[in-house]
Amino acid sequence: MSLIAQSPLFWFPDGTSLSNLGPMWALIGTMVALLLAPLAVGRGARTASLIALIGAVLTAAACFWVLPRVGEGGWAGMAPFDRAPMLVVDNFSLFFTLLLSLFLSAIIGLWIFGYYSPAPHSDMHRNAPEFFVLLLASALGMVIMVSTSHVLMILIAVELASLPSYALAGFDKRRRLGAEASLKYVLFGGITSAIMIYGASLLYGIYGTMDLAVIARGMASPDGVSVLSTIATFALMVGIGFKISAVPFHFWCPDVFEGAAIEVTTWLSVVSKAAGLGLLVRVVSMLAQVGIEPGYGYALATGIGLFATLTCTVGNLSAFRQTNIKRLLAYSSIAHAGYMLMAAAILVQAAPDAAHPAFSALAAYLVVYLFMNLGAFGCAAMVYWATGSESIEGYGNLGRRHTFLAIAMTICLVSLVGLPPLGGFAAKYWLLVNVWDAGMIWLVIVAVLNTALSLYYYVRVIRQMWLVEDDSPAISAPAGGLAIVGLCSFVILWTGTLAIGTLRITAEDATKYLYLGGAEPPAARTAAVSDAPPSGSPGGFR
Amino acid sequence: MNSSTLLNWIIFLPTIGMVAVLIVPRALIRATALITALATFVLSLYLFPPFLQQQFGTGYGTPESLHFVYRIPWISAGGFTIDYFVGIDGLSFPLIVLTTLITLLACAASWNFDEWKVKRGMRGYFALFLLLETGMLGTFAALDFFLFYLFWEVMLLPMYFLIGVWGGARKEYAAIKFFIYTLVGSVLMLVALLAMYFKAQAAGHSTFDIIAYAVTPQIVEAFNDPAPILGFKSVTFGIAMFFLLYIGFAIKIPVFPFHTWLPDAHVEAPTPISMILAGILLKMGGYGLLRFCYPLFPAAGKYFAYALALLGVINIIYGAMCAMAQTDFKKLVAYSSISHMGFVLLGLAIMTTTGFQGAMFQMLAHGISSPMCFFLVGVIYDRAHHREINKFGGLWLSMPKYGSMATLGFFASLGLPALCGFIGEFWVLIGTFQAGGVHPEFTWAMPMAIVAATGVILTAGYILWLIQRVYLGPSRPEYADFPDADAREVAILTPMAVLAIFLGILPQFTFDVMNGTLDNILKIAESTVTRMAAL
Repeated sequence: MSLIAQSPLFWFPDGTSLSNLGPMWALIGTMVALLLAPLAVGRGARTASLIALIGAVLTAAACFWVLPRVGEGGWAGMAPFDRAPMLVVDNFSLFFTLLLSLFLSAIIGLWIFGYYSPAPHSDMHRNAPEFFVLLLASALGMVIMVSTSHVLMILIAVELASLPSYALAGFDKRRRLGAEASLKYVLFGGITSAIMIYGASLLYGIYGTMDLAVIARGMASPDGVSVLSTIATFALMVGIGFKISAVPFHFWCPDVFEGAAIEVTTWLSVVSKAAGLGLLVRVVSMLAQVGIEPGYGYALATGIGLFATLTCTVGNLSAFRQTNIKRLLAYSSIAHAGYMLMAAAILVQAAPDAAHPAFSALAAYLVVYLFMNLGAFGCAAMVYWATGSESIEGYGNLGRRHTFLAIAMTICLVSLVGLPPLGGFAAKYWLLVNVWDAGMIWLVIVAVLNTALSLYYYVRVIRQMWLVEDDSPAISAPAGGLAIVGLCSFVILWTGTLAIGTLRITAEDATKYLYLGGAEPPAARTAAVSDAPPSGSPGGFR
Repeated sequence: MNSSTLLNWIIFLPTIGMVAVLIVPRALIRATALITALATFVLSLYLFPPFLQQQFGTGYGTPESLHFVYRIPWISAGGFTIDYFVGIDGLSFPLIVLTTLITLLACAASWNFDEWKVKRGMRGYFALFLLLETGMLGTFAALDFFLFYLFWEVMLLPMYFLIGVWGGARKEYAAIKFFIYTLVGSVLMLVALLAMYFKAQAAGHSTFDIIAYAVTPQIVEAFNDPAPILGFKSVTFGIAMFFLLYIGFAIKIPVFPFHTWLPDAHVEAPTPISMILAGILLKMGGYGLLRFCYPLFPAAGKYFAYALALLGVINIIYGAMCAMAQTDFKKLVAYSSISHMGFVLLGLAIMTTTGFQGAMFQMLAHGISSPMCFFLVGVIYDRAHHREINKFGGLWLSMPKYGSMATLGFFASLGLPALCGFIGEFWVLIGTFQAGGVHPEFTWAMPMAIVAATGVILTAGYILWLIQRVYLGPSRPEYADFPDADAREVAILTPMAVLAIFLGILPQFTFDVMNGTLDNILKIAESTVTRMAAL
């Protein structure tokens, strides 16, 4: 092995480098196990869900296992010779991976409760192994999205996250709505991917490299920015905008959310956006860190700010007339993507140290957002299992029909509005604080006015649950599902009252260090890799 | 400034009661809530001693002027230091006692819950009711802006549900209207909160401490910096902040043209919630102006004085005229609230000692008389199940006890001398009349006082006409057999009636409690204006 590793033409990472990618291995291993298990024990849904759940927990455990190696501002990854690493493991990516794996466990939990609920089984339940392989594959794609600073890997990661998602959206072949959703998703995703790849190819053509750090340095150099490079950067952003469903790349979102099964919708609404934002944050801060020309930086910040404004306003306004709870939450998630985009807007004003406050603001927002949406979608799923209805009408008098569920749903919705004393306010507060501090006061005003705007449609659901007389019978919900939404409500209440500060401090700790390209030799790289031959080797991407 | 946990107990005892309400058997819910409200009221009586010892209540801006202070660091993250900081001075003390009292009476007024039209979810009703009390008490006690904001918003959701679930025919419309109006105001307050914190931070003090905002020289200079901001010629930082905060508070007061939520909310809300809404929630607007706008941005206060006074006069006249046109008993009382709160705004706007004292007194007086009026409406609604003024008549004959109480309550609201309403209105009118002497530039003050005084005549008009139509005249057969006010109703009305008389004939006691603080707020405001003008 060492012989091969030292050959200038062929490089193979050593054990330490590979083990740094533990969470990804856990996901890959689970996928393989899921595919092989049917050969040994048959295509049991129970076995498959159990394997997937173990895999998700293992992924979380692997994050904790890798964490000490990247602690104290280091990073680890796979770097051939002295080149920039294709994959990076740092505090930020581990934090995200941990969130993702916890969320994955919750989704698998929802799937299990749905499987045992009185609602009829769908393809998702009948073809469990394939479903989970696709789910985990998209999870892997999302993990890679936040673990790379290399344009080629970004393209691969976005595709790896998207392609299984297309299949997941239309997994239930017999549902017309699902098929339609899937087709729309594919078409929209295909076009944005094409634009993104086009942008990447332009960037490679201009700067001769796929490494974002080098591209950033190129942009910082005199005459580094041209109309063409601006178009190329924008084209790259289009792909990311599609993932986070930023307006005007959001049209797929409501249809897909409505058509897909509720477990898939929950998955896409939170993690897919979070991954896109993680990627965006890294790309923007890599471009910003080398001190891009102020005028260009200002234009970039204003541009992202305008996108954020457009995204949250359009999202909120479109939600007003929705009658389907999943579509309503889809537009709500578009609006929230807009709020989170504001964090990216202030990133352009690079902070002197690597720990830009925007990271911690975004991380805090993501944590709360995850629990809010999991809670809201979880409640929606349980109402669906019990009544077979996804319309807001179906929530009539839920307060009497299932008080606990209605209380949990109310807490999640009010938190989505962003009212104290709930987590949604704490998250929004920390975000707005940093936006204000960065001098983008108009963005703060946009955000607070949107908060007032969004109240109306969230309250429509609350009104339906508590204020409307409805004689429908009481409903029952699985205890495990209630435990999940109960936990979400508790976390939301806790982060909104006693833990407002803890939320921020945790987020700050989690994002203390972000890999921004080879400024200094990484501490955690192993001797074998450091001893590798010097640069100048021919060929290959740089 | 002795540390004390008493305020914490007062604020969070209702929360503890809320948890208890959620777990006790159904038969004990009402009793649990009532005991909690009573215990909170009794605890609040322990706040009295320091305010009785000093000749003129207590001051403002000095450590000695704050009582029952409890302050611990709460949040220290992201470059922010936020304290859990509660304490009371002569401004918040009377309002806290008023809150605990009116909440107790409203809780007793909820005792006949089982006879309401919407009688489902008694547990939820009393739980939300107690949560609302925590929000109100916290708002009055908080001295940290962030904490104030949290408590301010905590009140929103319970109120939405209390109107929306247990309200009348158009409850949903009224509830969402209340919710959206108030939320718009509070998001503007959030902008002001951020702006003020960063301004104070730039001045070298990272704090949300409201008192420090008013007395720390560096912060005062930064807040009242006469330099224009945001490229507008005449908009200074103080003016922008005053405006943002004012919108939030004006919606609560409510000031024309933000008043339209109030009649809807009152008409649809159940009686006890109307009592709280009129008695306490409206006071938060006036309290906010006195706590934030005037001590912190006095120069802006002067800048806006004419506009605010004009709006106050509009409130007085327009509210009274609307009240006169109503045929719905409850809507009439609601519009009379708008008219009465106009005096508060007018008294504040002129920025004189008499004006501030009158405004504060008017808040307390209205905090007693308007819940009484709403309860009186509720009593008759429980029996007649309608509120059409023109269908009533001769009620005094069939219900002598109730009729007497009602006359007293409405006369207090009218502002009859020797009752509470008179003092506040009189002080405000006198203050406005003389304001030109204190601030020579307020040449508009005297004409405004004259116009506002006509509001008193209008008030007398609609209230006397109301009394005539409802309580006087020949007894009508359909109301002849109505039972008179029972013991519970008399027990609820008596404290308010006693206080209405007490405030009316011995106003000095109330003035003593709060004047020290009000005068010092004005003194600090004046010195700030002088100092910034000299710079």
